[in-house]
Amino acid sequence: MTISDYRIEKRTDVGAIGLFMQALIAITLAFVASGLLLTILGFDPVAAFDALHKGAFGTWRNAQGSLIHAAPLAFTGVAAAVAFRARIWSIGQEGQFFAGAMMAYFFTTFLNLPALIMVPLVILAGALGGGLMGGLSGTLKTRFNVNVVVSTVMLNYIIVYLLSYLLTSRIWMAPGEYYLQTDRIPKNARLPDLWPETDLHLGVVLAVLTIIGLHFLINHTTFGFSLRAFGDNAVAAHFKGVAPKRMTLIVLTLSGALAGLGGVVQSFGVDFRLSQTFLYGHGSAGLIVAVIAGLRPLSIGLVAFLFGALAKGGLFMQVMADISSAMISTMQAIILMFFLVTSVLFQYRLRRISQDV
Amino acid sequence: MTAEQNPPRLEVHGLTKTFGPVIANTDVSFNVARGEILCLLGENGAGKSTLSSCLYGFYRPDKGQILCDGMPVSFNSPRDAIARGIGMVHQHFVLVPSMTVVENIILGTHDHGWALNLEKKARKISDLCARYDISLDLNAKIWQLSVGEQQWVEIIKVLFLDAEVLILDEPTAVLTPHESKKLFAILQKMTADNLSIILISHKLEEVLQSDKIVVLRKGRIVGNVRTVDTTRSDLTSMMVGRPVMLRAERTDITPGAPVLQVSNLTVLNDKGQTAVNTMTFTVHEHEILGIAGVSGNGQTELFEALIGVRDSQTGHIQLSGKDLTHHSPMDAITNGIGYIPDDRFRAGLVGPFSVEDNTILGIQKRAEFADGPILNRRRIRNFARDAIDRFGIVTPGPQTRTDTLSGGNAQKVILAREFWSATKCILANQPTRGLDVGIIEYVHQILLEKRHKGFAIVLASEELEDILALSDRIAVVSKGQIMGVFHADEANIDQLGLLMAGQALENAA
Repeated sequence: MTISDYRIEKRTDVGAIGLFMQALIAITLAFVASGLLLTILGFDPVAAFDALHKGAFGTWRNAQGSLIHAAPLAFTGVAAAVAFRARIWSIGQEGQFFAGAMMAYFFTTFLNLPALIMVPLVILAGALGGGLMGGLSGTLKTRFNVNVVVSTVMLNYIIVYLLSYLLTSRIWMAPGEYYLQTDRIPKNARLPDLWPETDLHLGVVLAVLTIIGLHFLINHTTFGFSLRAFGDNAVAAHFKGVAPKRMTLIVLTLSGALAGLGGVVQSFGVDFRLSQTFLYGHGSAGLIVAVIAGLRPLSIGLVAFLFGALAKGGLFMQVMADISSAMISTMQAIILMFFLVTSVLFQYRLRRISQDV
Repeated sequence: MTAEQNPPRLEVHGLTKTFGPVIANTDVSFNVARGEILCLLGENGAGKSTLSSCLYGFYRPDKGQILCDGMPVSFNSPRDAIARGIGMVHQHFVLVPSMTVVENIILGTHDHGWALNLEKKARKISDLCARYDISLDLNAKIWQLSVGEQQWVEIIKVLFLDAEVLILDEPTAVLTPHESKKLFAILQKMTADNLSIILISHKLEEVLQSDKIVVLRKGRIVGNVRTVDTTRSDLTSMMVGRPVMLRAERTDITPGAPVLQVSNLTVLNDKGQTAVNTMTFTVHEHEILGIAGVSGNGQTELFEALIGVRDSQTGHIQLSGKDLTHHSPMDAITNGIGYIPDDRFRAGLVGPFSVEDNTILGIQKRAEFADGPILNRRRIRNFARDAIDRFGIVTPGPQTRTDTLSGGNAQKVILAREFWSATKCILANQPTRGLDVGIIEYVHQILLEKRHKGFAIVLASEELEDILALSDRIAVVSKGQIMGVFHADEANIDQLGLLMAGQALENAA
């Protein structure tokens, strides 16, 4: 007698095709679920998704907008990925994003130099601001063994409220200003547009270069090798010469600097002023982007673009279909959930086994 | 021997068991008489565990017959097997730590109806203990017992179910030498009571205490002999499939200049207690210093301090006259110290890394593997290919994930790396733990080769046999202290055993 039986087995390797299939299934399911949600809320999902699509890719101009929305997410995404690859659970990208923008803005409050000097300066200042924040978490960890999750979350609050203080106390607010926002950033400090008649700015190029650079750093350098070794087995890495404290400090500083760059790209390339509402949410979205992209820099570029398109299209959807842009955050979260679920499922396969009894 | 007149207590005929395409056992036949100890010998993956699982009813064989007292039987579950008097003592204990010995033993028995009647059962248990000379506090909780005592509980558990055939899976894996001796004394008493024992092992010392030996290789029986008619080397060549040199040839070399000098070294463990207590020793060129001791007596902390991952409290470490005290692991690597850890996938390898990445772990910055800060993949791959060839690492390729390799092959990856990077000194902490005989022989040979080339080698092992076979001098450690240092030819096992147990000798050198 032959009995057929199914057994669930763990896959040794999912493979590139598997990952692509997984992404496709997750995104499809996420759109189905979001469509259901829209239907329940009384909207026409077809009209909504149509507006979303048109807003994101309908015209060349809209596609540029998607890229612009993607750029800061690419930075916070790689920032999260660098830390997570080393198994350091920093969720300070939000605060570091703020800190980068604030440090850069701080320089514009007392310096007024030609754009050729000012632009590189604010970019470096952004990296410095975020890097200091990351480095602070790193020092707290290596010196006082403060849990990185706790310190980064706390620092997120501190920096966000610091901006709030600087604005409400009118230190950074122009006299007579009604909204809680800084003065406009002077033209010579703004990230220049790539060509006339476009909103694509230097920050988008920086994002692409950063993604490629990080891919190279992680996969092809001795430092990236040590970082991955530290993340995959910190004990063995320690035995083989990777100093855990030093690595923790470097990784958190680097991760912070990357998130800080994102803050500059957003505020000096798009908003031209600082406000809590403009900067808010880029850190958490970057986390999601990094996790969905499997912490791989090149994939982070793609997922950041997807999320940028959602954000850009969401604005259009809000106008055309009268659907709150909060729906976009909801969709991002739904995509993440389906990604996590499918990635677990894709680690297994069903195999039919038969045996003679 | 009554085996000639009566049918054997347990007999297996042409047993075959496959898992999908994997054949675990093919056409296995043997028998055990009453009062006999049969040993199933074989390397990891030879099919011993599958075979025993068929015997105690956990698996159903695809083909073949199992006979009890000459009657064919068919087991659907371990309960059927125990009803026929066949019980299994597992390698990994199946005990509830928060319950008492008695409770654990009666757990899973079904004959007590509504009333538990603990007292009557406790009496039966204490009778069993007395009969086999096992001292156990029946009301102690399992977590309060030593590992050895837990092993006795597992055995009593099976005896309590009136088992007449006991299958023991690697019973001494977790026991001290003293406890192992005690175990065999217990087994002898059982056979005197006409119980049958099936012992699964790969340790030759134990195997030779049985009456009959069945050797398995790749799921087939390659030898079925009476113990009195065989020798250790016969058994190993059967098990490995080729002649194996059991005693590695150790040529006499006069040790050279001192290489590793450790003086008054004190190291704390993770709990802040003294793990290494003012140890002083020197290892010379062309010398293997064996560290004998039961694990957990400071060996791991000593090695970690010598590598530089654990800081020392007092004392000095010198390498060829250069002070290395409070050094980093990187200092150890760059000064030519190699380390072979006992726990390969914890301290020696990054599991998700490819084989080639693990062959350069810790030395990735050397000019051989990187141009400045950039890894040179081509050169790394060539190095890994060469290592795979030279050390005979069985892997689909240099890009295979290391955690898919077997223990022996993973160990070879470490050997390839450490022997390439080390130039003066090799620290080997139980380098053969959990490995098959064939690989153990290889590791021993390669250590002796390095000794010949002038390396100073520190070798820790729980197997006194290994220490005696390889070392020039032997330091016995207990509770973080060196109890004595002997020249290998002056040492004998009994003396070392006493020192390992912590008893100081008056004439300890």
